[in-house]
Amino acid sequence: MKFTYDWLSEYCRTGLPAAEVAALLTRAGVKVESVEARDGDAVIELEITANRPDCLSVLGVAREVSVVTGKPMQEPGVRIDTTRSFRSPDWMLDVQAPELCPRYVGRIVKGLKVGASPAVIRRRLEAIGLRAVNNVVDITNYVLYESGQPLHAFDLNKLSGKSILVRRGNAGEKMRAIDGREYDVAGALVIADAEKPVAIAGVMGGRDTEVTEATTEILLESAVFDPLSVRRTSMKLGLASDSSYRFQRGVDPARVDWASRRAVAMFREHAGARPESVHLDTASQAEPKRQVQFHVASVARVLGREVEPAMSRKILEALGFEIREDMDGIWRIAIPSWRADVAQDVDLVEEIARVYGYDRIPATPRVAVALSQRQPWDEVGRAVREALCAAGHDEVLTMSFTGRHAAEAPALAGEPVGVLGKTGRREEQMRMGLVPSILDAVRTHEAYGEKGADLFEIAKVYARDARGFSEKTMLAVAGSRGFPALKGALENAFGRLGVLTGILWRPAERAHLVPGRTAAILHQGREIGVAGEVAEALAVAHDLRLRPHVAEIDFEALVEASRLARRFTEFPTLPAVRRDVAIVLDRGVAWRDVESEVRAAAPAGILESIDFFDLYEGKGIPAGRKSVAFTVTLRAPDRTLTSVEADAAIQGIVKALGSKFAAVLR
Amino acid sequence: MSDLDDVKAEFLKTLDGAKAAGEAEKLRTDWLGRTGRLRKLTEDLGKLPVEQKKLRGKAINDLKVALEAAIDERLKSLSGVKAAPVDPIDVTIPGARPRYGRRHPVYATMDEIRHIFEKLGFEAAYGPEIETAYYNFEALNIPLDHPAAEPFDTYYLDDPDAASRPYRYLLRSHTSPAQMHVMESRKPPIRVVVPGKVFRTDPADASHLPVFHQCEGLMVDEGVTFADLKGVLAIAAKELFGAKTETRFRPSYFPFTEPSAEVDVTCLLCGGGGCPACKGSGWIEILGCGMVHPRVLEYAKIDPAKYTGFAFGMGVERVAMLKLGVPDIRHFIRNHPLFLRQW
Repeated sequence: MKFTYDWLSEYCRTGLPAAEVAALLTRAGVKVESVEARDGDAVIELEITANRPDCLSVLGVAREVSVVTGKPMQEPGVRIDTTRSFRSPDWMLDVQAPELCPRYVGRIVKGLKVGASPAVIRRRLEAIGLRAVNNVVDITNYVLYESGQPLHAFDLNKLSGKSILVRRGNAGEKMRAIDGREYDVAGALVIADAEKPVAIAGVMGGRDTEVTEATTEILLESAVFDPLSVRRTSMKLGLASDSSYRFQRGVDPARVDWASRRAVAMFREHAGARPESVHLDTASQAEPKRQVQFHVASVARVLGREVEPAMSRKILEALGFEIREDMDGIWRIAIPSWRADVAQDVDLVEEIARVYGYDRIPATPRVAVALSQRQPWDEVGRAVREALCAAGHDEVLTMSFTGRHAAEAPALAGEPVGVLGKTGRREEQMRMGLVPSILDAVRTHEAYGEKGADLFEIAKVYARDARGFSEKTMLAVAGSRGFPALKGALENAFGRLGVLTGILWRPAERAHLVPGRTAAILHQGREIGVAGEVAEALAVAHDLRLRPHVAEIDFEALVEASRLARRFTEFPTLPAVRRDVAIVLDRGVAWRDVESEVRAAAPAGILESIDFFDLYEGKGIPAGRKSVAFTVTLRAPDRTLTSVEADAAIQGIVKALGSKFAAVLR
Repeated sequence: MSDLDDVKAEFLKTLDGAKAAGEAEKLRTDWLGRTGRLRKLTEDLGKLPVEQKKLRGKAINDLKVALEAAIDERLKSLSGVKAAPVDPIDVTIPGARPRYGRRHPVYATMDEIRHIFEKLGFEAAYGPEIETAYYNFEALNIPLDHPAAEPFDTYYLDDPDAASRPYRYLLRSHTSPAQMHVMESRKPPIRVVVPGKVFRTDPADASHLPVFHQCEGLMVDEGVTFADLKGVLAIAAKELFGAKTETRFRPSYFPFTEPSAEVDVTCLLCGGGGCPACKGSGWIEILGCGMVHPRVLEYAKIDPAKYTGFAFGMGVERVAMLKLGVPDIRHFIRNHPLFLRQW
């Protein structure tokens, strides 16, 4: 909503600079977006929220200015008195859809001399970005902005059949609007003459009946149209206007006839017009004002501060509310016609508060202490993030939408979730896995010259299946330093969560990972994730030069499995004996099996740990064989082991490995 | 006592001649040992009168201490001669920094906001990102098919079964639906903070992304007032932006709160004096809030005659941009390595 300060001052003369009035309006919740100097005047732009259509008019804003400055408001006088009827001497009004058009006022004006508008009107309209056209069009626009009531002028002589119908558009009916485009108006509420639609009700008039330089007689429409009907038509046709904007938000029913008379008075003054003595109008009688019960005590109950009842009364009355009855602190309040948004007690509390001033309400946080709730979700997230950051992985943020890769490397079963945009068409797809997202981030790193990237993110993936929509929080990790580095980073995270001992890595196959270089990650037998080297096809699809390793883990399962509480464990104080062992054995033997065998072969009670430290194949090792080196730590809880005991244990281990895997000492 | 001085002089001369540690150690035996020179001197003590004996004894002991010290000194200097020359290091060479990862500034800021409210007794809560129009709009008193719903430019889901459902599925356009779930599932007193991802059909530009994050808060109890809301947010703003931060509450409109407010904080750049970042006003809009609308409480089956509540919500990216000085919101989703490593 835009207007000039001198226009506003016509209705409420404050004697204050525009910027000061702007600050007062903003303080009271009528938010001023900008105040710009223009030709010795100021153009004020407001951001009006959907609940305050009354401020979509200069008069409405003037009322607020009057309240916040305490200066009186002067409304323009309108002295056009015509008799109301469904018929003028020879015109007929027929509202066939009264539920969509509760009020229709039509005034016939003759003897118009179309020409330029007075300078002040032109200046004010141009200052707010409207094009001055001619006195008739300009005055309808001017009164729209002044009163908030949309008006439309039809060229009377282009209407056929001397009748105005408010009806739904018939199948196949089309109309060319003032914007020059043709619209299919079937089903939409239209204004029609005896033959054809001449306006899309509340949205835009038709080109065939618009006012031209040659116009001398008009029918001036001022009406109330159903907000939802106007909204749906406007959206369906993709056509919006100053009128449809106001009708959607609701116009002041008490302004309908006023705006009509105001415009006609201006036509008379500035365009030499003569109104007919009878006008068309559907109104039966003025709607009674709605009434709301207001508990004065609500002010303190909601705000935490008493406002003097006399002050509350003064504020409400200045805003146009009438206090009709006061019974023991319960007021019966009549709501002004322009405040459809005020429906209950708290709405009135807000009215009082915003004028009284939010700044005068104290800031007193009476917040009781409460037992803090440990959220495993957040604790697990923190532990995982810390472990991965410590391992050199940067956290990324990727988009949940992924048009091209939606069903690629899915972490969920089902179909991708399609998303409808503003137009109602399928515009985006939700990702089903986090791997494609993180590979996009790896790609960005490569594009900026990085040799691979170590990244991670915790975020959701989405799917649809026969049961409906689902979403799941996943952890994705990408690594540039090989499988063991990625696995180690994850193992550190698992260790932080207290789940490492329950984790098993098992060879697996996944379409998006290289066969033979892929592992399923199991926790206590249940698969919670997968890790491996990115397959050629996926790497190519993401335009990657390198082949990163990735892992994707069910974060929700991690939360469920986590054991974050720690307890002291007694630790040994006697010295340990460590022996490094290097054996040569067949390539196909998994480390896990070697480890099990070592455990089985070690004398009971003295094996503390087995730590893998090297794998070697190549020169010096026969083909098909590999060298595996590890450290065996032996420790007895009750005595210092002798080297004789240790050597015997190692010999036993080597012997067992020899018979089980044909392993020989290197 | 000049004889003792002579002994000392002779010893020092001999010690000076010792060129190896072994030689110096040998002097210790020869002079201070059980059959050494000093021992011999003490043998004569018995013949002296008591007074002289005392003096002479002390003098011999002092000499012994001095000779011991001289031997130690000599040994130290002899061993010093033998030490290999130290190879100096270039201490200006950069440290071998272990690689560590950085938190993403948006996720880190979201955690920071959550922590602040946790310290104030709020508890984290989460909700689904795929929601129904009931929770995203209706239960929050946002009329569907009305201009009041327009700021929540919402992505609806492509749903083959839409016709058979009472409410359409959508991507939540704010975190407030999660508040509704919380209110439905527990009784007051309620104090929660809800961080999460939200979606709007805004095309990406310097200050908008179609997918972004919010942090929402809710408190419902008997006797909760707007003054409490002001107090809690004033503290939270100081925690988040610094102790000098002031807050300003402006009346505004959200369908789910009444009265509603927008909250400005003093500009982080100019401290309130006015600068280009705050368009000269000294204030920067940071969040929306208000007293929970009685109708919203009714939807959650909480008696509005008994309970009142406040709610607030802020954009995490916006907070991060202000705090970190990030000029374009799109930096957050580009994942440029040099951006990620700034934090």
